[in-house]
Order: sequence, then structure tokens, then C-alpha cells
Amino acid sequence: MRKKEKMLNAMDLIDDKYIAEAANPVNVKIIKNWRRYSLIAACLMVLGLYLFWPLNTNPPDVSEYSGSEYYPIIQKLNVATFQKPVYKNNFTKINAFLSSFYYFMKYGADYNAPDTDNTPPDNRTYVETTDNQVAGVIEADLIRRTDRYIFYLNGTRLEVYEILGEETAMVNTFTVDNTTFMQTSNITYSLNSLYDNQCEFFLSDDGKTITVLVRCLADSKRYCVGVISLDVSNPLRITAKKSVFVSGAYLTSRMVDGELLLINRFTVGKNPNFSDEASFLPQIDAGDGMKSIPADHIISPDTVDAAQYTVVCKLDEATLEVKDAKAFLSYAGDIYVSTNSIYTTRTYYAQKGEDKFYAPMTEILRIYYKGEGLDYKGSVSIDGFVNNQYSLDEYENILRVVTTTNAQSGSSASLYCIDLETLQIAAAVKDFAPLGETVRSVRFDKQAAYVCTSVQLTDPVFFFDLRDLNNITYTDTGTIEGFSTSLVNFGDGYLLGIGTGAEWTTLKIEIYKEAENRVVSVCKYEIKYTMFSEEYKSYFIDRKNKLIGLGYTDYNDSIEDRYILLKLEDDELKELVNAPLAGDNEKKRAVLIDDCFYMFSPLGFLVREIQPDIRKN
Amino acid sequence: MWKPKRNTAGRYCFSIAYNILFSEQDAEECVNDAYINAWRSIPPHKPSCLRTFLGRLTRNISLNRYNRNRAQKRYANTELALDELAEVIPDPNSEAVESDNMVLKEAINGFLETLPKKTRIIFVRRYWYLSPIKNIADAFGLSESNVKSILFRTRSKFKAHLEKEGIVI
Repeated sequence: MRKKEKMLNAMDLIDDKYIAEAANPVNVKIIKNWRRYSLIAACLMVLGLYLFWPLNTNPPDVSEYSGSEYYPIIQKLNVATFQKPVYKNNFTKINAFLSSFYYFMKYGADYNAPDTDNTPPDNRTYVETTDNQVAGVIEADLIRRTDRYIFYLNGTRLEVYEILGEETAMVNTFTVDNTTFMQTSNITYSLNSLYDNQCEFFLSDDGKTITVLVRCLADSKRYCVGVISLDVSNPLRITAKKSVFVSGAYLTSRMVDGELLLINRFTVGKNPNFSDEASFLPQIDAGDGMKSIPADHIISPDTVDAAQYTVVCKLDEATLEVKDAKAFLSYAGDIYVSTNSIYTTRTYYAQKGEDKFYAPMTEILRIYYKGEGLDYKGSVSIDGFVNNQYSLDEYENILRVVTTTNAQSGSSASLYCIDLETLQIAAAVKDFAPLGETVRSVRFDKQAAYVCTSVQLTDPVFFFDLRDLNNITYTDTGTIEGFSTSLVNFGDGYLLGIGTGAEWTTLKIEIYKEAENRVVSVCKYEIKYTMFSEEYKSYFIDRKNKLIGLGYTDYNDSIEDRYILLKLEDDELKELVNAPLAGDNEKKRAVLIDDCFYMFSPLGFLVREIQPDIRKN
Repeated sequence: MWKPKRNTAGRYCFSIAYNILFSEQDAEECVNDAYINAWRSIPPHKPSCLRTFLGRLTRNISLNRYNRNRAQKRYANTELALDELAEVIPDPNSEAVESDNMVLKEAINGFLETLPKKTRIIFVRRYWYLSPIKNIADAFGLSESNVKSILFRTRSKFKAHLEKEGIVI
């Protein structure tokens, strides 16, 4: 027992620090809960790593494809398709989301969260059908006719009308559907139902072949354009002859001397699979399966700013034989086709001036198509952005371009003349429009140019004399109400402007004339409270008879779709037809044959007899 | 009965005394005695840590009272703790001579230094504070058998350590 006590007393020799340590409840608590604390610490560490670990900012490694002939393209696409993370880490990402959510809850749907999406620029569609921009360069449209029949493409249904004046009737239809396509390979083509109302067609000179351009899907997922050749030698018994498929989304097409120029945009998706050529290379199926465009036919700039190709394909109209195909690894906006060249435009932004203001620039690529194949001739960059294809014009080896320029002080308009031999700017008239104006419509007429600019609802129309590039002169109408979205050379020195009047809901058709170094307004026709199409192909223009036709929706008394035909006579616009015609104004088309005026829409057609004396001019 | 309100040090000392004596009244008296002794000894002696100093006084007074009362009362916990400590006493056949307090202190504190914190606190709680095993188990969220097992292993190591150091008690 004594030893026990001695031992007990020996315990009294324990240092104060150990006694205090054992008495401290914090120490005990920590030890008691160490598992819980360890778990919390581990969770915090994982959370911290998740929140603050920097997100990957480097594109994936593609060196495994170094043996491919497309390797230089793969490298560029790899960089172009890689989306750098907007946020440095997940913490800033979640923070931004919560901020957006907070403002959405506070201010409702009116709050616009910052747009971080890299949406490509707006792709404007064309503005005219029946009035082709360049003589001999035919644009695809919804209507064509022979001496006996009118063909109108209503969605994917080709309607055939026999021309019999007021007795005219639909005599046959042919619907382009999935069974029309020649399924020649293991790829299944189907109509892209989203765009089945955006088909166009050409009619051959002999009136026996129709070439329809339809938006399709290859294997139900990849965009492509189907070129379908139909035998219409007997319009009452139409048969499909051949089909060719070109990958990409339809941009435009032209028919020149029996050769079809098809221009598509092929977009490479995010994180493409470089082992699958169809996911990153434009392909053509001419009846023997999809084949990639060869590497030496792909032209790519040094730096790629969009993972898109502009695919230009040249086909024989009669046989649909692919004569050549080129792909340009670059974004394409508006496209102008002259009698020998295709010009694609690409808008980009570059820092300018001392303030390093980001100003719009336009790069124009020239592709010469008149040879055996397609030859890339080079590119030129100019200030500003173009309005549409009518902002470009080639005349006597000079390309004239009108752009809306933008500086820190405000927008204006400029005209450039580019020498096509050197692709250098030969002459320019910079910032000719008043500050703040933008280009609304342009029309070139040989050695003259008409430009309509506007701020809101007032426009001057400028007339340029381009006979001497060293001395370009111009004059304008002064400020007038409204602005024209389409300017059309109306013959005999007249200029036709179709656009908006003093109010946004007013349709204004105005005739201008050049007179003693200035442009004067001759007359105008206005309808208030209307909606009309800005699609230039939907306008009926007859220069010889001085006729203008278009569809509009009248909101004056009740909502009614109508079609009007106007005639310029004695410097006055007279109404010849104003008839109800239901249907989408963009899809309305008209033709004048002998004494009858035929109007078509997706919901029906109308025929009106025109008095013979009206047609005298 | 009126009970003075205890401060932190008071609660600390009371728990030490109560662990040894298992009697609230005895523990209260021991704490009071400890305060009186402290009052008397502090002017010449300045403790580095007042709390521990009071604890030591309480422990000694409580152990003295324990020895006086042992004949009349049962102190199951204290007895058990002493029995456990008895296991640690090195082999009597050892040739070593009885060690003085300085050597013993170094050996004990050296041993405690080598222990993990958790084991060390459990050991000190049991053999200095003479806390019941159940209380220790509750404080650490362990089972009693787990605490017993830890104490057993630590005692074995302690014994081996003392033998290695040639300590005789």
C-alpha cells in the first residue's frame, strides 16, 4: 500500500503544463471531435480547390493528328473552337450567376444579364429577287416562268401554273421531300424542317431543268444543302434527276452561263472530334458518299478568328458535276458576285487611333470563278462595314464599296474604289455623310453610285460621279423624311427608293432623279400603318414599263394582306392594282405576261388584267 | 444549506477533490483548505500558474483526507486508480536504487513528452486528477473499454520506461 501511495505521490511530480493541458476543455473538445474537424477541413479544402482552382485556358492537345494532311487546319480550328473560360475560376463564375439571379429577382425580366455568348454577327439576307444585281448573274428565287408555265416554289412544293390569263390554274405540283433525295451512300439525308420554307430554285435557259436548293440534314444532325435537279421538260410529269449535297448552311447561290455557284457556311462545333473529318471539314457528296474537300483546296488565313468555312462550290447546271470546290477558313457575311468573281465580306474590329477605339473593318476576299476552277486572288481590308451585297460593285476592274464607318466621334459613310489588279485602294471618299448617319441602301449604276444614309427617320440620298477616280464628286438631296431600304436604278435617269416614310409604320415608295449636280425627289407614294417586306427579291420591278409591285399588310381599318402595283407616269406614281392577297409578304412574287399581272403567295394566287395603254411608255 | 458560488478555479479544485473523495461536503472543505493554504504560502512563494498551484494543493489535501477516511468509507474510484498505478511499479528485484524526486520527475515528464496528446491527457486525467473512467470516456466520446485499453497500454509503456531508466519507487 505504501508503494501505491508513493506512486500516487510520484504522479504529483508531473509538470504543470501537462496538468493544465489535461484540464483545458478546449484540448479535450478538439480531441473528441477530431474526426469531425478533419472531415470539415477536408471538405473545405476540396471546396476551396473547386472554387479557386484556375479554369483551363489552353486548348486541348492535338499533336496526335500531326500525321494528317489537315494538321495545320486542325491546329487552327483547335484554337478557334476552344472557348476560353469567361471566369478565372468557379468562384467568380458562381458569383456572377448569383449576381444575375439577384438582379433578376430584384428587377425582373427587364434586367439583361451581360451577354457572354460569342454569337456571330447578324447574317442579313438578300433584298431582291426579280431584279438581279448583275446582268447575266442569275440569283435563285421562288418564281420562274417559261412561255407556257409559271413555276412558283411554295416551301418545298413546286407549283406549276399554266398561263391562261384570268383562266390561269395550277396544273401540277411536285414536293421535294426525303424520298426525292438520291440515297447513294450510307448517309441518310432528310429535309431540315426548320428551314423547309427557305428553298430557292433556278430554271435552265431551255426551260427543261429546275435546280432546287434545299436545306437538309445529313444523318439527322449535320447541316448540308441539297442541290436537286428536276426534269421539267414535261411540267405535268416532273421527275428528280440527280442530287448533290454540300455540307454547311446555305448562304447564297448564282447561276452564270450554265454553272451553278453554291456558297455555304460550314461551322465547326465546339470541341470537334478531329478523328471524324465530317465534324471539322466541309464535305461534298456527288453521289459517291461524303468526301472532304482536299487540304490544298482549303485556304486559311494566318490567324483564324472564327471556326467557320465559307464553302464555294462550282457545279455544272445540267449534270450537277462538281467542277471545283474551295473552302476558306473564315467567316463570311455578305456576298457579291460579279460576272467573273465572288467577293465575300468579313467584318472584324481593330483598334484605331490614339484612344485605341475598336472600329469596324471589312475584309473582302476575291475568288475568280471564270476559269476552269475557282482561284483565290487575295484580299483587301477597308474601314467600316457593308450594308448588304448592293454595297459592292465591280466595274472596269475596279471594285467600289460603300461602308458605314465608325469612329469614336460617331458613325458616317465612306466610299472606296479598289484596284482589282493590285487589291489596293485606288480612291476613296471618306466620311461623306453627316456624323451619326449610317448607310441604309446603295445602288451602283456603271459610273454612278446612289447612297441612302439616315439617322433615325431622315435621309439624304447621295449621288456620286465615279467617272474620274481622281476627282470623285457627289451631291445629295438634302434631308428628307424617311429612308430607303432598297435603292433601284429605275432606268431613264430615275432612281427608285423603297423604304420607310416619316413614321416607322409608313411605307414610302419614292422616285428620285439626278438634276444639275443634285438629286431631287420627283414623287412619292405612301401608305400609313403598314408592314412591308424588306426582302428585295419580293419586289416586282419592271424598268421598261416603269412598274413597281410589292405585298404589304394594311393595318388601317382591319388587318389585311394586299398587293399593289404602281406605275410611274408623268412624274407621278399611279396605283394600277391594289388587291387583297393573303400570305407572307416576303414570299410574294409577281410576273407581268402580256396584259395580265400574276401575283403569287404561299396562300394563293391572283391575276389582274392590265389595260394595254398602261403598258405604253 | 447555503453554497458559495464557485468561480472557475473553484470548480476546477472542487472537481479534483470530488474525484478523490467522492463526497461533496469533503470536497468543499478540501477546496476551502486549499484556498487557506494558498493564502498562507503565496507571499513567499509565487506560483507560475495559480490554477495548477491551487489544483496541486487541493489534490494533496484531498489525498490526505482520503488516507484518514479510508477506513470508514469506500473510495472505489480512487482505490481502483491506485491499484492500476501499483501495476506500474517496477520489478522489486531490480538492482537499481530508489530514485530521488528529481530523477523520477524527469523520467515521468520525459515519458509524458513521448505520448500522443490524447493519450497523455487521458493518462493525466486518470492518475493525477483521478477522474473516473466513465467521466474520461464521456469527455472524449470514447467507450469505457476503449479508455481502459488506452490506459492499460500506457501503463505498460510507463512501466517499461521506468525500468529502462532504472527507476525504483
